[in-house]
Formats: sequence, structure tokens, C-alpha cells
Amino acid sequence: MILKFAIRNIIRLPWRTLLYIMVTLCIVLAITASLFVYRACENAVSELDEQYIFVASVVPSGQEPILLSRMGACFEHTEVLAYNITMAEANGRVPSGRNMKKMPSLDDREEADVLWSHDEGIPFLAVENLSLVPSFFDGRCTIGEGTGITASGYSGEESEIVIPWWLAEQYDISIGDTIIKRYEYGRYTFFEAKVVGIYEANVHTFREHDYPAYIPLAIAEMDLGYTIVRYMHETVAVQRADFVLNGREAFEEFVLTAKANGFDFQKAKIVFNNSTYDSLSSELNNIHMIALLVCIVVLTVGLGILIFFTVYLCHTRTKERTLLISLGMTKRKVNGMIAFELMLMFIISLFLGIFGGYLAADGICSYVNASVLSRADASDAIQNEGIDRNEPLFQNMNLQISVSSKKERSESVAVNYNLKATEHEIGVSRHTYQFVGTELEGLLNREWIPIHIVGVTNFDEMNVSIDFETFQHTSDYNDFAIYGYVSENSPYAPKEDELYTTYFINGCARDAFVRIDGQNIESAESLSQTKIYIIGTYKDNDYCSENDILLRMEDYHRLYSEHSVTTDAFYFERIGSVYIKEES
Amino acid sequence: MAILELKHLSYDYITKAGKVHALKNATASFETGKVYAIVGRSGSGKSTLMSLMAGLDVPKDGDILYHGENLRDIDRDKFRREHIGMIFQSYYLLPQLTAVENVELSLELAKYKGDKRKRAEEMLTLVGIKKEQFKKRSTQFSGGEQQRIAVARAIATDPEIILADEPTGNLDNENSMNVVSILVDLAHKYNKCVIVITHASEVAEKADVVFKMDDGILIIQ
Repeated sequence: MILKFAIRNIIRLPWRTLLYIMVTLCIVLAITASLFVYRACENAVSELDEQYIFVASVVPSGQEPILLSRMGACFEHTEVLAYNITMAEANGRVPSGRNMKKMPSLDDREEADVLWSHDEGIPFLAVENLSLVPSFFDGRCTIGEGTGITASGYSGEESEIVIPWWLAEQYDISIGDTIIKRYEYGRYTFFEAKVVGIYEANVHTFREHDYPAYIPLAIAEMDLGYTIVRYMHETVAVQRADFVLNGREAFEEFVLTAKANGFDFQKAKIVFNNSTYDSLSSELNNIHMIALLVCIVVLTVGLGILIFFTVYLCHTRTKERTLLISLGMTKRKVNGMIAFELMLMFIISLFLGIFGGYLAADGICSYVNASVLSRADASDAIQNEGIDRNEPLFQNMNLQISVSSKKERSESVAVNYNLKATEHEIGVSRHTYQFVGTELEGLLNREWIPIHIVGVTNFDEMNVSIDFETFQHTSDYNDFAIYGYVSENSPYAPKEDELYTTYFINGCARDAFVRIDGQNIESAESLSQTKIYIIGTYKDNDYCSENDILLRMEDYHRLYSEHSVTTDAFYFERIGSVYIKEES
Repeated sequence: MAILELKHLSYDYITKAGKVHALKNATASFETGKVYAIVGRSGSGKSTLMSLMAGLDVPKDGDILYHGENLRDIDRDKFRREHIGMIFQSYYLLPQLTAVENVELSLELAKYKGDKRKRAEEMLTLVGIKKEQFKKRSTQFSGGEQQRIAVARAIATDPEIILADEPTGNLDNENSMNVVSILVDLAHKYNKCVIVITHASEVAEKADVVFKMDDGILIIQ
């Protein structure tokens, strides 16, 4: 009977019911919406702290150079996702290829699963993208296990290596193992890396053990480079360094370490992109606080209003109570009926309020995303006046708040090592490679070393600082050769009957190519630099013409790094490509 | 034979002004088939007496006997549901209900076993409400009609005692006479015991027995 009377009253008194439901609904809606927004902000703040990627750039601000060794110390204990370091002209040598060494700690040795020395093993090559290495490109070698090193796949978190199948079998190495390669450089030094890929060869055109292991270029340069400089007391200057740091802790640690290593603002500009973080963090905290405040106020005031309104409604029903009691209804039943009515209306309001609150919070979140956070999301390019801005290392984070538990967040981090190749990145342009490679097939049939073209550069503006005497005393002199191709229209193109032609290159643009055959080396004044063996020709195309020499990427890199070749027009990009810089 | 007896009733309550003796040793006897009028000035204790007779409250001293049974000893809610019909000055019709539903309400509470709707309609017809008005909301009726609906509600459960508190207080002369006429008929034709509390002398004139309340003392006139 109580139920019947209560429901009848709710239906038959629509305005009273509607008023009570509206008041309650508004209160519940406001509380629910603010709680949802509060929770969404809390999640976003915590996600921001956990996953925001900071970028720090260091450039010298005065005459005093920044030493590579000191730079390396900055992230010795910091979680650095990636880095890009441009070497300055240096008095000493830039560590590279064969010179890379690392003095391991005792712990490192104990952790290593495999130790193999240079004599027993194979050379390892520093590359950024295995797919650009000829044997991988033409399918003679394929990744059997693991991920391999690719432009987009290299995590940069630690030293990684891709090894040939025979090495894995011989030493029982698996994916995930740590290996150490030992070098002899006055004393033993070591290179430690985690195996991320094992590759196989389909055609054995080489001696089996000539298949090299591959490590990322960045690792080869920095992870090992700074160490050798540190131990060998050589000075290498840094022109600019960009570090991608994972999370606020890493960022703060990096800042502290950088300052501890003397990177103050007198010596170096340290530019951080934390303004985006600060902006996001500040906006989110504001919304967070507002949501909390609204919740508390509505809870306090709303509860008071609700109690007052409920009491008022009960008072207005005195006559009804009197009548029902006079008709013989017990007081308990009358009170029960009124309580049941209120409860029913409250439950309806509660459900509608929570649902409405969810929708309202969703709307608020969308508004906040569109109006507030979108401003904070704007790309926060590093403010680096005086730095070459042709290579912006930027970080952009798109953070959104959402009432659902699903975290909606997209993030784009563009750093040099994982830029996607474009048509203008010589060495990446596959069709050019394919075209030139086809033309050179005849040479391969002569059983000459099948070096494929993976890089093209313009040496016109090349300016190197090493003299010939120095060159002759380099450790590479007799052991290593650089092989290249020239345009078939080049005056230095080899004759058809020549197996190969050797040139020296100097710093005087196209005339620098000196044919060595039949000449007296000592008498050539311009002889300097290193030796390039021209082993074939190519047809002119969009990417290279008669003034260009095509080199293997690793050769190019070695040339660059050992002779510290850096000019405005000729520079090195971490993705392993060589840019032809556009005329300004 | 007396259906309702008041024996030495006393009742007092506390107000800001002090203790008020609303009833002082009131004794009376009520029989079926008669109309009783209780007259007296405001604050003389009439409403208190009615409240006690309806079992809404219990006296401090003395007893009320219904068919010889003391109201203190019986279920007074059931007593009101089954044996008392109450009529108020302000009608006390529920605005959310229709005329017929208002009458049905008392039948529902009394757990009437017959056809409630039919019974309610009969009662409304009895007090002169037209059939086409049965389903109108109570607020759509005039004062006289509302009071007649209230009378129909009071007699729907066929109680032996009808208690009416100023039933003509809000009505004009014509409607007052109509209501009084119905009450008189209830006593004389349907053998009910009708007790009317009133200020109106014309109502008191129609009563078979008139009591006067004066300062808590009940005197038969």
C-alpha cells in the first residue's frame, strides 16, 4: 500500500516531483562532473610526469669548447632516449670505427655472456639502418631472429648489435644476450652491446667470417667515443648536443649532472623544452584544483540545500499526514510512505545525475582539450638563438584529458635518428640506388668486392684539415681503403681497361681528384686527405652528377669522423644519410 | 444504549503561557441515531475532546469507552479505520486524487473487501455529487461540494460514529444547511452517532442533544 501511495503521489504531483528531482539532479550532476574532471586531470598529470619526453640542447656559449668526454659524463647515469651530437673542428681526432673502445667496469665483465676478441671475431660496422646495407637491401642477408637495426626500430636505450648467424652458433648467442668485443689499443678495451638481431645470408659469396656485426651509429659514436676520449686524454669539441630524456626524473637528473660537469650558462647554453611541460602541468593543475573546489563547494552547499528542501517538502504535507492518520493509517506507515517517495526521487536523480555528470565532464574535457591544452600543446621548438636551426630538434606532445579510463594520448617525438627518409636524402633514395646498382653489375661479375652505393655526397665544398703526412701515419693508411664511384662524365672516370683507379682527394673542390696512376705522389703539392679508389662509374641522375663521388655510407662516415670534416655545406645527419644542403 | 462514553476526562498540555487544562472532568454519553452538537467559544477544549474521542490522543485522566471497551486497551488506528468517520472544517481532500479516489482512500485503508469503486460512487451519489464529476480532481469542486465529498469519505466505511469538526465553518448558508441536512439524515435514517463541533447556532439547533464546552468543562444543555 505504501508503495502504491508513494508512486501515485510521485506521478500525480509532477511539479513537486520535478522540482525535487531537478534540485537533486543538479547537485549530483555537479559533484559527479567535477569528480570525473578531477580524476581525468589527475590521470593526465600523472601520465605527464611519467611519459613526457624532455629535450635538452647544449651549445657552447663562449670561446671555450665543450669536451665530448664531459658531455658523455652528463648522461652516464641518466636515462637518455636518444641524442644527437655534432662534433666541432677538433685538435685531436674524433673517435670512430676502429678506435672506439670502452673500458668496462668489473660489473660489466661479470654481466657479459660472451666475450670475443677482435682476432677471433669479425669487424663490426656502425650503421643506422640495416636495410640500407647492400646485402640486406638486395636480400642476400635477412634478419632471422630479433628486430635488427632500422632507422625506426632502434630504441637507443642501450648499445645494440646485430650479429651474423655463424657467430650466434659458434658462441651460442641468443637474442637479448650481452656480448663484449675486445680491442687491443695499447691495452685491452671492450665494447659491450645487447644482441637485438641475428641475420642470415642466403648466398655465400664472401668468406663466411667476413660477415660483419652491426651496431647503431649513435652508439658507436657516443657510447664508446666519450670513453676513449676520457681515457686517452684526447680533446674533442662538441658543436651542439641534443638529448632526448625520458621523464621528469631523468630530466632533473640530467640538469643536475650537466651543471655538475660545468655546463653553466657562462660556458654553455643549456636549452630545455620544459616550457611545454610547465605549461601543461600548470594548466592541468589549475583545472584539477577548480574541479576539486567545485566538488567541495557543491557538496557542502548542495547538501544543505537538499536537507532544507527535503524538510520543507515534509512540512508542506502536514495536512496530508493528519488526514491519513485520522483515516486510520499508522504514523509509521505515513512516515514510511513519505520517506519512500523521497528515496525513489533521490535514486532517479542519482542515476540521471551520474549519467548527466559523465556527459558534462566529457564535454568539459573536450572543451579543456580544445581550448586550454591545445594552447599548451603547441610545438615547443627549442629556443636556440645562434644555433643552426636548419636541423630543428623539436618535441611536441599532444596531451588530452578524458573521463574514460582509456588514456587518450598521442605523442610525436621527432629526433634526428628516426626521421623518415625523403627523396632528397641521398643514400635513401632506393630508385637511384637501384639504377646505379644495375649499371655497375658488370663490375660485380669481375669478382671485385661488391660494394654498393649507399651514399652520395658533393665534395665540392669539402674542406678537410688533415695533411698528407698525418694521413700517412693514420692507422687506416694501409689497412683500410675507401672505394667510390664517379660519374661517367667525370674527367676522372676510369678507363674501360682499368680495373680501378686510385685518386687522392684534397680540399680544392673538383680539381682535388688527382689521378694517382703514373704520378709521383710526393711531388703532388695538393696531395692530402685520404685515398679513394674509384672502382666504377654511374650515370648522372637527379641525385648525383659529374662532381659527385659515391661512397659507402660507412666509408663516408669514417672519412667524416676521422678527419673531422665539418663545414656549413657538408654535414652529417644521424640517420645515416648525407644531405646535399640547399643553397641559401 | 450508549455507543461512546466519556468518563471523567481530563487533559492538559503545556504552552509558553503555562499549563492549560483543556478538559476538566468531562463526562458524557453518546448513542446511535442522534445528532450531538458541542458548542463553545474558541479555546474551550472542543477540538481536544474530538481528538480524544477519535483515538488520536489519550486522556491524562478518565476513560473513553466504545461499546464498553476502553480506548486505551484497543488498537486505536483500527478503531478509527473501522468505526470512526471524520469530517474537517478544511475538508482535507488530497488534491492529487479525484473525488472518487478520495473516497476510495478510506476504503483502501480500512481494507474494504467489496468493490471499492462502486462503494465510493454510491457514497458520492448519496451526498449529491453527480456521476460525471466523480473523476474530477478534488480541487475542481466548490467548497460545499468538497465538504460533501469529505462526508462521503467519512461514511464510506460505514462507521457507527461520525465526528465533524466545524463542518460548515467554511461554507455559505445554503451549503451549510445541505451538509447539516446530510448529517441529520445520517443519524436519523442510517442510525449513526453524529457528533458535531460547531460555532453555528443554526447547526446546534438541528442537533438532538447540545453540549456546551466552557473552559474545559462539558455541560449538557
